[in-house]
Amino acid sequence: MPDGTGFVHHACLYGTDAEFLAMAVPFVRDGLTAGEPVLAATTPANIDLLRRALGERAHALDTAETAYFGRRPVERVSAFLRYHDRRARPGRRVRMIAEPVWNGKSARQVAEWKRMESGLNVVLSGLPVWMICPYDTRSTPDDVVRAACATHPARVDGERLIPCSAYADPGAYVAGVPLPRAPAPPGAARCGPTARVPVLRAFARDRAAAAGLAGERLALAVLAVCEAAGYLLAPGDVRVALRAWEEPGALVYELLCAGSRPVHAFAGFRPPGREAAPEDGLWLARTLTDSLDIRTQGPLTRLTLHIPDPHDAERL
Amino acid sequence: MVHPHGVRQRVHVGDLQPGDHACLLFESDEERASTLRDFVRGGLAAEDKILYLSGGRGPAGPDALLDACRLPGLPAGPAGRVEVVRLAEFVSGRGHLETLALLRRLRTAARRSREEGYRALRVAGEPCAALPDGRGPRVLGALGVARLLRYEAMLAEEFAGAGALALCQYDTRCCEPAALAAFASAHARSVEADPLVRTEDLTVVRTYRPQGLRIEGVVDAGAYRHLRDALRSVAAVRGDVCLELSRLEFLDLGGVRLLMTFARARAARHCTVELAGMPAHLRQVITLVGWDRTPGLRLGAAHA
Repeated sequence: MPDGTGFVHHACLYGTDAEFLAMAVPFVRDGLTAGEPVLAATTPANIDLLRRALGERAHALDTAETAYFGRRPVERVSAFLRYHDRRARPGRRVRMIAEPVWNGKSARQVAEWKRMESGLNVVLSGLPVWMICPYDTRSTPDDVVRAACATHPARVDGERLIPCSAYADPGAYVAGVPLPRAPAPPGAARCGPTARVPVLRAFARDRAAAAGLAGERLALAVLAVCEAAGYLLAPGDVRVALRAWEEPGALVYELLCAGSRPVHAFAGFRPPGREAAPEDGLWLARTLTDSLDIRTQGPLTRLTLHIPDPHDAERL
Repeated sequence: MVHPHGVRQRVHVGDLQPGDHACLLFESDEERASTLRDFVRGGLAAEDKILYLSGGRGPAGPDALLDACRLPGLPAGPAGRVEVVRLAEFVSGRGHLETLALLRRLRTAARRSREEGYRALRVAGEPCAALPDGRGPRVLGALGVARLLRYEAMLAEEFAGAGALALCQYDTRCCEPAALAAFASAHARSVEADPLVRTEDLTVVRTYRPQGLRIEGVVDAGAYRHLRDALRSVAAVRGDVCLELSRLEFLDLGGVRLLMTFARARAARHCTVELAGMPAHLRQVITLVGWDRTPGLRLGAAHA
């Protein structure tokens, strides 16, 4: 059993209900016995299985239907942290079963979730959480199952711990799993380079309005761009060039900045805390967009924001 | 309750121009003093002559006036530039304001200020304070109110030219709502204190009904210092504070954090901070971060 001082991140590759329970039941039972908060964020079917197997003990188990426990990676991290903040007890570790949904995701989303699985080792580092991420090999694509062994330092099989020899340093891993990217079209609208946020804000607003966004959605799009720009400009003595174009389903903003501070791929995954932190605005930009991709190439940093366009019927 | 500003054009007191006849309906001594301070300071800056109509407990002379305005040591200019006139001189033995005599006095003062080369005569005063201690429009009766309204009408006519401007202050605590409405309607403008912050992108105004700030325009990293200072200026307010945000065009996350920090500080004093007229998207942002649980914070109705 890992000690309770830092983040422990294990995968569990299971191919049957019995294999899932062989991992989950002792993990939950031992946690509850130790007085630790325990969360199972998994499929409704697995929650049912687990509850039946736990019997009376199931009353003490926190559960969440995983598809709604953070729909996107940044929301997922926020959900983990929120659970920890609300449930943690002094001196006690928190246990989580966290099974992502993989089926039906787009190539971009699969890449984002793989990167997040790796990034959790960095973003949640130091948090007294023991997290096991189950992967159902009956339904999960092969490449995702393989990725689990690269994004988790070890996996559990029942109660047996097996180190993952394919585990990769998160920085190196995400470099090898780039998000699909369509370059800016030649006709993309341009602004800057400039260090003046009001100029970027006016441009962002004009492009959002031209894309058909209005009211609250327009204001949130402008805010996302300004927070991303503000993050790049914060070190001072740099300028940001902003481009915008429309793709089916999305308004895309691309911010280019030479000479800003080094930006790691997991920047902006932690929600703002009690004290202000440099990445707070980037977290908001991530949260307000469908996707925020960070790429660095030498001194050049590129932030690409995908914002759902007016045809996103969920936001009608 | 009478709306303090009615449908008249509301201006910052520092923006008053010669020819203006404006009123301030105040409900606290702090509001009266703050507005008077801005009025006097504006007059000194604009090379106006200042005449203050002082009531029973008001300042007795120019130095006392500058002290009351918390402008001690400010150069009042040549002797006679700041003048204090006791309203008691214009109250009849029966306790009535002698409006014609007062107007004659003001007319003379306006003419003299022009002759002395001032831009304008700037008059401020509290007409009700002319009445003996303990009396106010609540006991003034319809006749007394009518008498004051006649004074206001004549003053408006007298000061319609470019050589003078007047600020008439009425204390809402001692006036009947109907009388207040009538006094307010006798003025073309109502005033509020000068903004605490006025930059190209951001205006922050101290408000008194309710106590708080009205924040207009853009708050981004370049404006944090201004917003922080403005919030500090209402840190000592007793009771709850309202931040009116309906004219806010942009507030970034760092700006929202300043508001949350302010709310937490107020909560420590068992008071709340209401964000009124908040743009709908900001409520969403506050909720996303989890700041809607901030102690002391009340999220008012969203701005349509």
